[in-house]
Amino acid sequence: MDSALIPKGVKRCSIGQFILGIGLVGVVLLWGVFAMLLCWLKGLNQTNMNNAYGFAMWIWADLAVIALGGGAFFTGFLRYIIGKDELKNIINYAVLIGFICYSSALLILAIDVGQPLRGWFIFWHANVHSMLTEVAFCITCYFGVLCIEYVPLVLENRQIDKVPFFHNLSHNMHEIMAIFAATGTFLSFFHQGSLGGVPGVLFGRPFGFREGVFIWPWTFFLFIWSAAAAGPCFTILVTKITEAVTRKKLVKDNVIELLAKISGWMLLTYSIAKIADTWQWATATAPSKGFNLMDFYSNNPLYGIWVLILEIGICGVLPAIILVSNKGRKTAGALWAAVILASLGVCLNRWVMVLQVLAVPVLPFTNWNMYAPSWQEVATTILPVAYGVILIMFSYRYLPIFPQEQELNPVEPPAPQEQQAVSKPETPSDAQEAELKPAEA
Amino acid sequence: MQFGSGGYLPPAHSTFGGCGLPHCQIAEKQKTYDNGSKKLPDPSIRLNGVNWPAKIEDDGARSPIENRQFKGVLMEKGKAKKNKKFGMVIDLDKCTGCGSCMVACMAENNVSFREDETDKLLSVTWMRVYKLTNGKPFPDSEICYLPRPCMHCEADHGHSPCVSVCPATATDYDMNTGIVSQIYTRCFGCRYCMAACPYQVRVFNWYDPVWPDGMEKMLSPNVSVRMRGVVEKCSFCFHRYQLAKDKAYYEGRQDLEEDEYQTACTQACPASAITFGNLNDPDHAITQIVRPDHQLGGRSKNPRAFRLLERLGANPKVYYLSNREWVRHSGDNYRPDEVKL
Repeated sequence: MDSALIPKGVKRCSIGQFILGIGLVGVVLLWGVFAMLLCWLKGLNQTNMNNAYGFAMWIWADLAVIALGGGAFFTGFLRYIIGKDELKNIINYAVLIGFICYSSALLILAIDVGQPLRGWFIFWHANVHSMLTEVAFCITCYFGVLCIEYVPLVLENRQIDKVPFFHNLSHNMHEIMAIFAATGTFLSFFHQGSLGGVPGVLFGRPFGFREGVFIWPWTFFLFIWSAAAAGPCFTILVTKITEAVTRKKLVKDNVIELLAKISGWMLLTYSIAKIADTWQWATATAPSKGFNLMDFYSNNPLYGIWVLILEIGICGVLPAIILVSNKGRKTAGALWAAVILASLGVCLNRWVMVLQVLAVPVLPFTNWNMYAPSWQEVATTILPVAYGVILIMFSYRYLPIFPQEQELNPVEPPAPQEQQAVSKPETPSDAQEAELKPAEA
Repeated sequence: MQFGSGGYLPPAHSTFGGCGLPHCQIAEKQKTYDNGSKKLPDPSIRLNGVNWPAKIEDDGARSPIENRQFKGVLMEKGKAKKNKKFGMVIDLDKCTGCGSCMVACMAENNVSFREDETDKLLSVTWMRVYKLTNGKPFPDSEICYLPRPCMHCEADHGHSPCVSVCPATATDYDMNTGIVSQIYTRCFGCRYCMAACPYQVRVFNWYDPVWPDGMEKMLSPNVSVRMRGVVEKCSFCFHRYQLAKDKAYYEGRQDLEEDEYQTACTQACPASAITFGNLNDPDHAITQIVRPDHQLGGRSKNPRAFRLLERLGANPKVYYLSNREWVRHSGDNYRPDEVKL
């Protein structure tokens, strides 16, 4: 039924199967939409946040998806600025994942604020001293860049590409994509950093506070670094999941291995920097405020020293070692484990830097604050995941996301009669189609 | 008093000179009424080891060191003349934990409440009284009640923890009064300020403010009611300051007497445990009690006094007094190797 929309030379599941899949994920999406409407109509009393936990699951989800979406800017940086040409075979998917992550972040923010209709105040009454102001400006601008990067991909749909204007527009946008990649990299560096600055500047919260350079706390740089390290890992992970679901090889190993190698070195250097930062914080910063390291990891039911070990050791150093080794990258199981651990690690880091910051008692006569999300918070956090899956399903089905798919999965040649029919275009539109080849990424 | 588009002016304003605008008229009136003549007194100021006259004539013949001192005097004079720094000192040895301050604060500031207030972390409370114990068993156990309003932190140059992080400039440090304000109609409820405040002073309106039938008639017209989805906090009853200023303006005065601006909690405290005033005015009781060292961020020279979480560097303007060492020790975090009680 929709075969005219499906890219040439690739095979997709039946429309019935596709609709069934969309329907299943759509139910989850509707659940999230219902929770979202409850939050908007009834207010944030639908959550389990309270005056001690002003930031909770949503802010964590925001920071996490933005870090995971870092694959878009860093892969773009490597492809267009550094000139790693092989990455052109995965850049489309990295951009799509980034687009999903950033649009999700904006959606979650719109639910998270107490007065969503006043959201524009952050631009109109901007406080230049606030890290959130910088985050808001950069995320919004970068989302615009991601839209610009995603549009040419949409224009490459088989039917849209038939229109000469869209074909030429897509081609020309590809030509100048390096400018947008550079812009995106610049914006990303700043908002990833600003998100790191959000807990780093809280001098009233010794768990989050860090010294730094000029106005930027060390977390500013660590967040950029970790996003650049874990973002591509997440891109690889989602690619691998897509390959598993579609039961097809979509990207060649050399592309994955190159991205994994770069990620590995980023992760290794990040882990070293993170260890140094933690050492400085534990031995100088926190003690100057009257805290020992173990004050942050004891006398509570959840946050033990295992959090630190898991975050830096198991989800930082271990995947880094796997990814920098040639054998680790080439072993499927090890690669899977490494990218999963790296993605989990950056999520855990964001959790710690948002929720544990607030959980730690600062007033000496108060206790640890514990928090568990309400179902509305869980549903609205899963909502973007469902939305992302649906967007990936549509994009994969109708857009040439993976340039190597055709080569890696050759479709059986059609029967001789059909072949003859294909080789002789009978209608003017078919003739035009034959002339216009999709622009290359 | 005349109300209109231009507000109200003091009576007989046209009899004074100056530019004709109200501020000049008040200034002229001040000179005449306060001093009996139109000439200001000449109190010499001893600062930086040098006696400087109040009226400084610049002849330009100064060494570089003297020049810096001269500028310092000018700055100090300007500061003393213009800036106030309102603060509070609470004598914890006097506080009985009766909660009058909390009640007065809620009534004064139209603080909303719900039928079910069992979850205190969802409550809107500007003034909260904590119960502290020394952790010792009977008969050595002691308790102390610690009322906690907003600390109105100054930090460095007014970059208090909450003010610098607000992305929409919905909270501000007023250099003229030292009060940290909250603009409810500009706050869009991101709650970053709540995360930044180590004193848990800031509270969020999780619910719509609803009062029992008829009780809304008891609300104060001087304080705006906050809507769901915004952050609020203690304002040091700033509306009282505005009312006092209005009254003084009407009476042709620039400055307020100490007792003209007092917070509701201060006045409600039956034990007189709370003292409120201008920390920059040496005549105010709070300044005499606290003896703030402005070179050290307002740290008190009174050995009985302490501030909460002094080590964080937020420089709060709420001080506490106690003769008990364990109470003073409870105000901050210390590593085991630092202090032993």
